[in-house]
Amino acid sequence: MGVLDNAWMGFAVAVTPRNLLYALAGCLIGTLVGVLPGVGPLAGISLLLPATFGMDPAAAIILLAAIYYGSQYGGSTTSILMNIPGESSSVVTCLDGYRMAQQGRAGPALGIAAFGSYIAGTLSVAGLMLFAPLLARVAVDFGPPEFFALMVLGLVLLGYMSSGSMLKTLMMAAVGLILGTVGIDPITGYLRFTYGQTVLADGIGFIPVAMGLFGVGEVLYSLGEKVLPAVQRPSLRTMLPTRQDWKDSAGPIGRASVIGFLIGILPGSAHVVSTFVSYALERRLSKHPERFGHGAIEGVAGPEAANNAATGGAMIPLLSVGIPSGPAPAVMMAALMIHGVRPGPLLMQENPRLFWGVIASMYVGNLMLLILNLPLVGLFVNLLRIPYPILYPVVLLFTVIGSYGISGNIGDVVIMFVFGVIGYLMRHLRFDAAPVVLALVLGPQLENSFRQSLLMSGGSFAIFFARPASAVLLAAGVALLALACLPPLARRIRGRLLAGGADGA
Amino acid sequence: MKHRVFVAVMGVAAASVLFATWAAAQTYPTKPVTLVNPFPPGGTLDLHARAVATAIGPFLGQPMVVENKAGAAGAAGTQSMLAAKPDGYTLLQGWTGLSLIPHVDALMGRPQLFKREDFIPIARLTASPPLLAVNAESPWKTLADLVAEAKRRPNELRHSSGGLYGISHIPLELLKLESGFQMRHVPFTGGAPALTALLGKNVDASICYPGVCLPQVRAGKIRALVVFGAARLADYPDVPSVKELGSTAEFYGWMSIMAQKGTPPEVVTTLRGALAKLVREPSYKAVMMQIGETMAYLDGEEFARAWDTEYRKMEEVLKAVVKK
Amino acid sequence: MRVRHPDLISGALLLIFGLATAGESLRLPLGSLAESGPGLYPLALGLLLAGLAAVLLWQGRQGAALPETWGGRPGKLLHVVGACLFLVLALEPLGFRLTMIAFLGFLLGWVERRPLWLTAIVAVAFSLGTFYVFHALLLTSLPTGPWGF
Repeated sequence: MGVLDNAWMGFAVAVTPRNLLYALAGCLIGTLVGVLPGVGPLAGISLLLPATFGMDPAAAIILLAAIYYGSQYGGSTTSILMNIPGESSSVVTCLDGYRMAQQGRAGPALGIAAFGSYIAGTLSVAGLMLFAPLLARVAVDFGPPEFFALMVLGLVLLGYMSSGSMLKTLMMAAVGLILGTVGIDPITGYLRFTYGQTVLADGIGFIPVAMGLFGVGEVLYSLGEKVLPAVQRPSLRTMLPTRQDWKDSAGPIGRASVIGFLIGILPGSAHVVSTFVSYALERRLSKHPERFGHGAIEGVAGPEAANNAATGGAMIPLLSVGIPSGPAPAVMMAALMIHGVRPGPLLMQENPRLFWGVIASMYVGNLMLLILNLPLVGLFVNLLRIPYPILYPVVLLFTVIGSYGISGNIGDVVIMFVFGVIGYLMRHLRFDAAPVVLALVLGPQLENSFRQSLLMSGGSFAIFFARPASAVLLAAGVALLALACLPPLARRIRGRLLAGGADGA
Repeated sequence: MKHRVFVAVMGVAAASVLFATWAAAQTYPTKPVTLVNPFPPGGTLDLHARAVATAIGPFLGQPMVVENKAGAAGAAGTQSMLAAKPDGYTLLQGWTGLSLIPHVDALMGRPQLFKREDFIPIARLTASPPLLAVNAESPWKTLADLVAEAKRRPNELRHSSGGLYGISHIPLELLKLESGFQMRHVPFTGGAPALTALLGKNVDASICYPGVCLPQVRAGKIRALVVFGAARLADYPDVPSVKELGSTAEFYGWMSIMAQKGTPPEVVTTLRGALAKLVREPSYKAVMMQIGETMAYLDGEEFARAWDTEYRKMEEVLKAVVKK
Repeated sequence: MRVRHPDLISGALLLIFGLATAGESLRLPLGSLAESGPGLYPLALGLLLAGLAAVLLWQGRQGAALPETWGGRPGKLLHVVGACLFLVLALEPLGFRLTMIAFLGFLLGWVERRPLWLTAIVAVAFSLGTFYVFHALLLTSLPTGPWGF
């Protein structure tokens, strides 16, 4: 059966009134959980899991998948409006998104984020349709050495992302990596740096740290300033992206779709790497890299497209191999099992209606989300009319809900406030917060992959170079690092030579 | 006059106390019961907990609600359940890890988060033996093949697990202890990455539970060499059991319902009765079949004895396995 | 208050943090490179951070002072931090709704000096509203106080 036949069959399933309704419900719920800080797609999906028991399996997955990719649309909202990343894949959006909001350009930021997400989401579903079986192999072959190499590359790219001092960025990354070691060591079972606190046994969570550094820290910093953030009066014209915005965003969106999709196939923390590959790439390609970090629309368009494309890619391991690539796909897998559908390599053959129906529904869902989110831009931008003295207590309220709601532990709220104070200090001492949280997310996977690789090879480091994929990724990382360090070094050497020449002459 | 008032008041007080006691003892449960699942949503334990909660309503007279409290490989949720009042309104979805975690803690020199004595086992519902799997492209067709290879190349073969000292690690350690071969252990965080490692040929062998493995076996991606039970599984008719092969390395991933120590006996009896009826309920049995779990009902006292035996056995096994 | 050498301060703090991490890591088994124990990786990171911090200290000697003044309004900041402290202490004993009403009320009414009617409406509406949406609808865990409130 050709791809076109399959697509036709899929759309026939997806476009039935009942399945359309489920897709819409999923999109609504997904957007809601995405926008609300601290509540993620996993919460929404698990909530509805029991409700899906009585449903047709295709309908169940259509609903749950819509919540999953729908939440990626909403995630950028809090990043742009309040500088609070709801998920690790929204952190990079804060960098330029919030600056744009402060410049009165929240509307274009949100609008481009929505459109970029739609285009990337749709392209990634196309990729899913055309390349699923092929890419499934990649998902499975990617082992610990490759993960390690990818994480190294990701960390090097972190350095590329900041407009400030590379040294300070690396130091913040090191801090993030250190924070990531707290908790139980999965390789030896030892507890590290927990000092008897059970809240730390699973490590310092991303959400308390991100909400603390970004959310609470920003509030404290703003309060300490002489002038409070100004109230905005958005008009219809300022809410829409300009033609220049569209021109600037087209390239980033296209590139990010590919990057996000490919990286999204990989399980776990890899998704967040796609956002900074995109950001670093756009910064490198831009004719005005100094605009990044100060409200460049490319810095929003690229990462937001990347994280949406990644959710499309994430469906590949689930649908083609039968292995969930994260906690949210794991719940979708449970929904399938409950209905007697065994997700695995044979799913496409045994259940073509379900397989293609879900994929087709993702096209439809992405379109629904765009239509849903665009009017919401107007609504959200008007939130910025609220005077800051009234806004910030409410922001603090939401951060508390976000951090307490993780596992009902007051310790997470404490961690958040501690990092809030740290974030305040960091802002004053000119350190960026993004590298800390991003390294916090990457750190555990970096360390585990490294040690797993050595366990696999019996202690030989050759494993990283003998395998083509990891060798290539590592080489890329080293090259990028050299590229970043060499120009300043070369300049200093040249300067020294010139000075020496002048003296000697 | 005062005397009469005093007697009247005492009479009312006494009657209220009697009424309250009667009410409480009479009618457990009088409000919904919470079943704590110490793992994230979507896993086998979660599906089981939800199946129990859905089907047990009519037998208990009150709805049962599943609460997910994940963390520390199941320890966090377990601890929180034990901290709740032992009144029968907060129960635990128990799993084999309860026989492993306390010993690991003790052997690693840290305070035990919980012990066998903290629980009153209500009933065991399922017990599924896992399978030892290798990649379908590897040359080993039987367990003997694999063991021979491992002995020929000590510590060169590798096996993955979903967690150090967990239920997908220990079964292979049992085989190692029994047959005396060595294999490197590569721990992953979760069953999915462990299985992926096997599929990608990044490790040579892995322990896998029947519901999860089946699609991969049927698609010809992995091959099961042995099942860690006393008999063959219906879904895997060609896979010999350890008993057939003359091994004593039996292991079961069981699921049970637990209450805290100190729960009133009447409450325990009510729960045992409800569960006894639950296991005969067709909708519950159907779900167990869907997720590939083997029904193995053991009522409270029998289960307590079986669990004691396993608990002690695991202590010995872990003493040999845990590295300090 | 003008901070003269910010990089010296941050460099010193991070140097201490890095060395502390390295020190604590030494208390854990280090293992070998092939079979690394839990302490090896944090030790390397701690030393790396300490090294980078030393570089920063070196650079910071000649660094520029911070242009803006620090703590334009220290009073308000302290009030907010104090409110957050209260929040953390009261959240579980008093429950979410009561604590939040007090928190929002204090910040809006006392610190920001908004009119009473606005303070009351915002504090009550948001506390009860978010509790309903998150706790009852989305089943997020939020603490309920001693009276189930």
